[in-house]
Amino acid sequence: MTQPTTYLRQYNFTNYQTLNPTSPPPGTALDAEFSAVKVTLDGVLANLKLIQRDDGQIANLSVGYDQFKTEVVSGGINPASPWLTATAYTVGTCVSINNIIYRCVVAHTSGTFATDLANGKWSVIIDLSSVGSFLSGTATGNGVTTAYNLGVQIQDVNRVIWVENGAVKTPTVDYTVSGTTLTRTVAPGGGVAISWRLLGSVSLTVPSDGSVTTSKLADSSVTTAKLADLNVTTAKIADFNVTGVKIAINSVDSTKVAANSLTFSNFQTVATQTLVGRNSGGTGSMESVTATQVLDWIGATQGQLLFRDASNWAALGVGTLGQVLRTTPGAANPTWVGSMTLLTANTAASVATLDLALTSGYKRYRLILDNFIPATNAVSPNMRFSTDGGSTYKTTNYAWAGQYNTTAASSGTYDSSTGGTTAVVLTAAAVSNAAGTTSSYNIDIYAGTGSTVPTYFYDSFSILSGGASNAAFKAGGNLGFNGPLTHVRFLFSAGNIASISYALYGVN
Amino acid sequence: MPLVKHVVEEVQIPIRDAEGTVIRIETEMQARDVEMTPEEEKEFLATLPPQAESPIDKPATKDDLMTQLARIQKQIEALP
Repeated sequence: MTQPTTYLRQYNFTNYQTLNPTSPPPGTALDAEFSAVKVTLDGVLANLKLIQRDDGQIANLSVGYDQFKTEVVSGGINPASPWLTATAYTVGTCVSINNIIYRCVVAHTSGTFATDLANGKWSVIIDLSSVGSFLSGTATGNGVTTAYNLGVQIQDVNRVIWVENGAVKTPTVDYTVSGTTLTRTVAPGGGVAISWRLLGSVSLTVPSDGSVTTSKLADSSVTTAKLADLNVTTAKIADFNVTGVKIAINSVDSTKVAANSLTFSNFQTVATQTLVGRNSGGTGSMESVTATQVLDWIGATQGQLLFRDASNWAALGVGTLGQVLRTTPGAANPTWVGSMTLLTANTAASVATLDLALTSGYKRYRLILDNFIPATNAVSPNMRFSTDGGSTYKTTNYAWAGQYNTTAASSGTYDSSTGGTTAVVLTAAAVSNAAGTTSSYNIDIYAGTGSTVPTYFYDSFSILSGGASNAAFKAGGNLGFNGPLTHVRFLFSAGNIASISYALYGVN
Repeated sequence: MPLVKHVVEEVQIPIRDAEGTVIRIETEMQARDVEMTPEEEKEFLATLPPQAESPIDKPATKDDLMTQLARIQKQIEALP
């Protein structure tokens, strides 16, 4: 139906009345005017009938898609964006908040939404709060990303409203969905504001307790935030699945290691012939410790000996020169004993006597005499003692006895009853002064103390007459006077001592 | 010519510091040849031990052996 014919005036009756003030208006002209008006009026009525029912309402089937303005075609409202505070809104702008879509009716800058709503800044367009929540979200384009994970299974692409910079995109044409992913045909440009809303009852119905099965959850979709703290039990971890990188550094303490379960190979390697312990001072980590270091914990002085006392290992201090180690049967510690100290060693020649002081402080003395040769041939070597500091030497009360043996296999005894008691006679034969004669003696003297009677023991070896006759003599005896002895004298029964080498030791 | 005796005696040696103060005493043996005084020499010669009769140098006589035998027999009899 075309638009009604436009009415155009065909005759100027004002001009005719001016020229013919006394004549009536021309009838033909009036008829023509009324006919033209009728044509237009009939057309208007015919067209009006097409859009208006007789009861005054818009005619049925008279309004179609093309009759709506653009904002009506796009849902009847302007695209809604999430409401934001401190934002300048113009009339007609739509926002969504709490699942309700509002239309701005008074331009304003937003403050608190409830206050703005109470002041008449917004009018409700659609209230969907009673039918459940719509999943929604925002993103920002970067010109590259086309796939967006909405975090929920999407059953129908038409249930997703996808808006970029306020422009609503067309399902299927502009985007598709698969699983939880929405894929844009063209990647939104950099900085493009994206907002999306999923229509439907995704969360409208809360699943009943214990009804969500494993198959309803997408693979690799349960994040840590979905697990309550301290709720993953041992049974939820597959055997042999916790790897080393999942264990925090320095977090496994001894209570997590089963007793008797670590093997030697679990520990740090150590150098050969070392122990695991700690040699450094203070408390600290274990170290490789050598056997020497371990033993040094007990004693680290050169010459010390280690032994076990009643309760611990201990170190026996360094002994003095000549000491020997003495052990005692039973539970007793070893000790150093028998310290032998060289008091003097020298030679003498062409003297009548050799007088040696017996330094006090020793239990006994050892004398070693060599080359004790007389100036006069075939005289007896003798020994005497002093108890008055060497002022006088005893000439009586010497008792001694011994045995001798010669190269001629001649043996016998010899004692003071036949050898005399004015001195100790050191050999059973006179000593030659011939060249090559050997005259050697080992003498132990127990000097005695107080009223203790000193004793002595000696042995001698002589080669007489240059080896023509050998003799060995071993003897000992007691003195008929009390100690302590202070000096010892050596002499021959006649003549000088041609030569003598001597060494005197103090023994404890 | 006087007789000489070879004497080894213990002597005390004072050890001093830089100021001359004795800080310790060390003891050592010193040997020296000393001439005997006439009195000492006289006494020494008077007390020389007699030359012992050596059983090695002289073969035992019958009397010697009998003496020894008698002594040994006496010792045996003394035994319980």
